[in-house]
This record gives sequence, structure tokens and C-alpha cells, in this order.
Amino acid sequence: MGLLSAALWSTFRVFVAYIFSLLFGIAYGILAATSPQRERLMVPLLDVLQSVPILGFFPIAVSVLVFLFRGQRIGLELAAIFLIFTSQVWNIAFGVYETVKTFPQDILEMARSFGMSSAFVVKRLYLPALVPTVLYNSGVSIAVGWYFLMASEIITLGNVEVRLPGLGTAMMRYVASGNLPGMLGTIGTIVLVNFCTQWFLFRPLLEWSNLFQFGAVGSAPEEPGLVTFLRDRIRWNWFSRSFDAVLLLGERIREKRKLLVALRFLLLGLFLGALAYFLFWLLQPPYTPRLVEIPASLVLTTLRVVVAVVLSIALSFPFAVRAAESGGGVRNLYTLAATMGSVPAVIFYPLIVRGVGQEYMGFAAILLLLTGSFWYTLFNMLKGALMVPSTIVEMARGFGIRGFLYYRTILIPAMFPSLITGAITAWGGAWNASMVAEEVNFGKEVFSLRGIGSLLLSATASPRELLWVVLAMTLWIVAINILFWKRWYGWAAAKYALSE
Amino acid sequence: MPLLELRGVTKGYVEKGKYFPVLDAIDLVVEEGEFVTIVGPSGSGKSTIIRIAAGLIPPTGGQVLYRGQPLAGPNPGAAIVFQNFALIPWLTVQENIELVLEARGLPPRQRVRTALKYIDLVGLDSFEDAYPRELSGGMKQRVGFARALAVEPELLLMDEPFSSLDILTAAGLREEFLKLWTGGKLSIRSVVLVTHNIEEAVLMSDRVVVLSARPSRIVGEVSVALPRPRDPHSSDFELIMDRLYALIVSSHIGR
Repeated sequence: MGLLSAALWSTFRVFVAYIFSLLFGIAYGILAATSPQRERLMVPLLDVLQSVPILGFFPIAVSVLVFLFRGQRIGLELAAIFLIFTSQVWNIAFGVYETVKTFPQDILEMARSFGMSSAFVVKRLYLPALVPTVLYNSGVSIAVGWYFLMASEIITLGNVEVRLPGLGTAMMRYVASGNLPGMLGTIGTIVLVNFCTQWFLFRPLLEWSNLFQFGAVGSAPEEPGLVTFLRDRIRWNWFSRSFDAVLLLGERIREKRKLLVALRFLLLGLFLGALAYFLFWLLQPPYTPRLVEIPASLVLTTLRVVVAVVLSIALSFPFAVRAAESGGGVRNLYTLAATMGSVPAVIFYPLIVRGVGQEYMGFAAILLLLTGSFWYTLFNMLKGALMVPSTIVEMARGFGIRGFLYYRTILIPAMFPSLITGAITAWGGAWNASMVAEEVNFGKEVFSLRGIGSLLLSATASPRELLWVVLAMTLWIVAINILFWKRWYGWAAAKYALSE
Repeated sequence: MPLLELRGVTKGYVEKGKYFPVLDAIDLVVEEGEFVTIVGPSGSGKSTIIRIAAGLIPPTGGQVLYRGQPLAGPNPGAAIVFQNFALIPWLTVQENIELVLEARGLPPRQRVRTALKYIDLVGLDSFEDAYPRELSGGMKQRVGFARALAVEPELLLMDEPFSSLDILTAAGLREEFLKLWTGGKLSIRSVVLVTHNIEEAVLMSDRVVVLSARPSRIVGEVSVALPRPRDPHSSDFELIMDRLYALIVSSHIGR
């Protein structure tokens, strides 16, 4: 019974966060893709937010929300939902942005020539066209949400630990008391909940989403019962009208240009003032030993993250190859991966670390990073493999291009852009996992690895040190993204684009 | 007053600080009741002229007049038939047509009535509930025609509407459209067709305008004063084809 209520609480949190992610991600993606002005600001911001380790910001978010709600349970719940939300939303926002960006030009021309307003285009063309991407990315988002759920239910505030009812807390309690049946039951529950979500919700929806794909051929997919049910029961007119009202409000605000400009300057002024004060506070001495430790810790963690990303790509590759060749079997692989990906490896981690001991903790840490990054490379490479045009695969077969030559000249180049996307997201995932990989409390024993994650945990007591660590880490990751990943992605996308 | 008038229209784009001209001083008048075809090699600005006439893109220079008024934004009197159909994959035939009627602000009942009327007109009855992916190319383009006709435009702009269809299907669809056009049941006053198929041009239109390669100029025009339906094997038809060929070849030698 305890497990059931825990499962309900955890599922509730994941889905509430998911609904917010959906609304926010779709709005963000469409807004960023439909105006060059907004795009210039919102896309780099998305890049930063996507690659920053969320877990690193969690202590800050918790203290703010707990302060706002004066330690009430609702504040803690919101903090937990917020953490899950931040793990889900960027993936959806980015998918939406990309889909709107690549919306077929001739359809847009058609829309304009028949006098469709931009609100009409958003409502009747963009939103339906987003269905396949949003559903595909939702599977990933939900899995990732479960992964972070575990970390979100146990909240440390200074030296007080607060536990929210849920599967994460239950698992920790079983681990601490060495209750093996309890642990297995909890993991089984998580797997079951996720399997049901994937099998009964996302699988039929994904199959149906093919209807919304431009250039799809063959007979139209059947409408799943769930969709029919929702269409008949929900008053869509109401949705449509409230959507129009929101758009109208946006336009009204935009009309008041003078007010808007004034407001913008005011906000900018406030922001700059706050920033100056903040920097002054942050940069003044004393520089404690923990701050001096930052560069070396960053390098050590980076090394582990790089190893994990390389391993993730290598391990995902065979699956992607199979997917490209068979095509049909991918749906099953996707369901399996989404279910497995939701199993929060974080909860086994203390056991493993205790098993291997302090000397080999480095290997265990890389293993944990792998579980935080592998699913990203797998999902992205599967997606890439699915998009390899069948004519290319057939051409290769027809000319007898096989074996190593086939991989080297056709399959790997065709999947390269999605491989890079996978690597970038895996890189973010591995960083995130680093936040929990470097320090483990097992009963009274403490295992610790040198790195930015353990440094961050040790700094939670001092706000200034905490901010230093988080900001240094963020800047470092963003710098690497801009200097390394961005360039590589641009190059790969241009060179291996699958169009003539 | 002519329905559509292009006066010295130029169009070009700037890339890496260099100007690439597409259209070079196009003068074109489309009178009411006229069927005008623009022929030209691929890559000439044929489709660009259609888009300028529809008000989808502004010209770089010159003037576009619709019923004597300069055009600013999408032309409310015009509808386009697209080469690649531009149908929405998740909407059925009927919903595709209703969509553009909804955008024009028609009430739901009238939308259904109008959509069904034009589905019937293009011979797609009993396919109302089919999705575009379930239709052949020819049937997709029938939807394209029905959609353009359903908004009851004065000017129909056709951007190579038969180019992505096989020969027989294209011939059948051409014939059917001509029947509708000469039958006088349509709201359309004038038609502008863009194609690279010379026989199609002579078969369908009252006047054929020949465009040069980029940057495109109008190199000449031939009027086709033959009664419809026209026989492509008649000597009069072949005479006009020959004159058109001569015009096109001379424009190539000229450069």
C-alpha cells in the first residue's frame, strides 16, 4: 500500500511537470522560431539552459521556493516539480523550434495566398505539425523526468533533510535499511509505471502521429481510441477561444510601443544594477580554498564526462545500425529504451559504490554518467537512423555496397548530424549526473571523488561559494558548447545534409 | 480597366553583397476575360511573377496594379494553384478546402456547402473524407483546383499545375479545366498560367508571353485566336507552335 501511494505521488509530480513542460516548450519554440529578433535572444538562451546541469541549480531553487512559501510543503512540492520541469522542457522546446523552422515553404505560401492570419497559421498549421516531434520528444522527456524525480524528493536544506512522499524517498529508505525486497519492489513499480505510459499512451499516439508528417505516404493511420475520446469530450472551442484571447492580449501589449520601450529600459536598468551589485558581492575577497579548488575540479569532472559521452556513442551505434536496416523494429526499441531510460540509475549507485569501494569509485562514477547520457545518444541516433532515406539504403543494396564501406561512406555520414545532436545532449546529461556521482552517503560512510559535483555539494552551506561553483561550471560548459559543439554541428549539418 | 497590370517590375536578391537580378523590367497587362500563359526556360522568373501578382512577395522595383490599385500584401482577388499541390496532410479533402474558407471568415454551414460544391465540380465526390496521401497526383491537383476555386477568386494564378503529373493525367485535367473555364460557371475573370510546356500554352490560352532566361525579360508574345476545343494536329495550331518556337530560339541566339 505504501508503494502504491508513493507511486501515485511520484507519477503525479512527473505528469504535472510534463504538462507545464509541454505548454512552456511549445510556446517557447514557436516564439523563438517565428521572429528573427526573438530568435537571436531565445536560441542561445535555450542552448545555455539546455546544457547547464540542472541539479547544480537545485539547491538555489529550493532555497528560493522554501523562502517564498515559508517552509510549507507546497514550496517543497513546487521545488520538486520545478526540478523535473527543467529536466523535461528544453528537449521539447528545441524540437518545437526545429520543426517550425523547417516548416514547408510551399505550405506557408499557400497560407499567405489564401489570406490566413499568423494566429490562424499557428493554430491550424504549426500546432498540428508539431504533433510528431512533440510526441517523440515527450517519451524522452518523461523518462528523463523519472530519472530526476529520485533526486527531487529528498531535499537538503543546510543540515536539515526533508523528504516528500514518493518512490524516490521510499527507495532511499529501503537502501538505508538494506531491505532488498523493498528495493526490488520500488524499481519494479517504476518500470511498470513507465512501461504502461509508453505502451498504452505514447506508442499508439506515435503511430498515429504519422498522419501529421509532411511527405508521408501510404494509407493514413487509424485514430487511437484515446484521441477520439478526447476529441469528443473536450470542448476544443473553449481552448481555441482562450488561445485567441492570449494572442489578442499579446497584440494589444505590442501596440503600446511607448510603454513597452519604457518598460524595457526600466527592466534593463534594474537588471544591470542588480548584476553590478551581484558581481561586486561575488568577486570581492576573501577567496577561500574552495574557490581555488574550482579549476582542477572542473578538469577532473570534464575528463569523466568525455569518457562517458564517447562510450555512449559507441554503445548506441549498433542499435542505430539495426534501426536503419530494419526500420520497422524501431518502435519496439523506442518503447524499450524509453522504459529502461526511466529507471533512475542514481538509486543503485550507493550500493555499487559501496560494493567497489573508494579505490574504484572513479569507474563507478563513469558508469553512472553513462546511464545519464546513453539514452540521449540512443534516442537521437535512432531518430537519425529513421530519417536516412530508404532510397539511399536501397541504392547501397542495389550496388552491393556492404560491410565497412557501407558504414564508412553511407550510414555514418547520413546519421552524423543526429549523432552530434545526441553527443551534445549526452554531454549535458553526463554533466548533470556528475552532480550526484561524486559524493555518496551510505549510512554513516561517506565516499567522495574529487570533482566539481562534490565541490558543489560541500559548498551548499555558503551561498557565495555555491554561486561561484555553479557559475564557474556554467561558464565552462557554455564556453565549450560555443567553441566546440556549435562549430562541429554547423559543419556536420552543412556537409551531411540529406538534401540535394 | 485591366484586371492585373505589372509596370516595369524588377526583382532580384542580394547575396554576399552582390545583386542577382531575376526579373528585368517586366511589363504585363492581363485584361478581364483573358487567359494569359507565361512560358520560359526553367530557372527564369516565371514563378516569381506569379508570386508578385499574388502579392506574396513585393517587387524590387516597378509597380503592381490590381484593378488599377497598387497592391500591398496578399492579393484578395487572386488564388493560386500550386505545382506541388501544397495540401495539408492531416486534413481530409473536404477539410483542406474548408480550411481556406474558414480563413476567409465563412460560417461553418456555408463552408461545408461551398466545399462540397467544388469537390463535386472537380469530380472528387465520394473522396471528401480521403487524406491527400491516399490520393494519386492527379486527384491531389484536383483538390488544389477545388481549393483555389472555392474562395471564388477573380484571378486564378496557376504555377505549373500540370508539371508534376503524368502525361495522360495532365491532358485530362487540362481538358476539364478548359471546359469549366469556357462553360462560364466560374467566378474567375482571368487566368495567368505559368509553364515550360509550349503545347500546353497554345492549347489553353488566348495569349502566350515568352520569357528569356535570367535575368528574365519579355522577348515577345503570340496571340492564339483559335476556337476551343483546339486540335494540336491542325495546321493552324502547328503554325502558332512554330512561331512560338522561333521566338524562343531567337531569344536564345540573342544572348
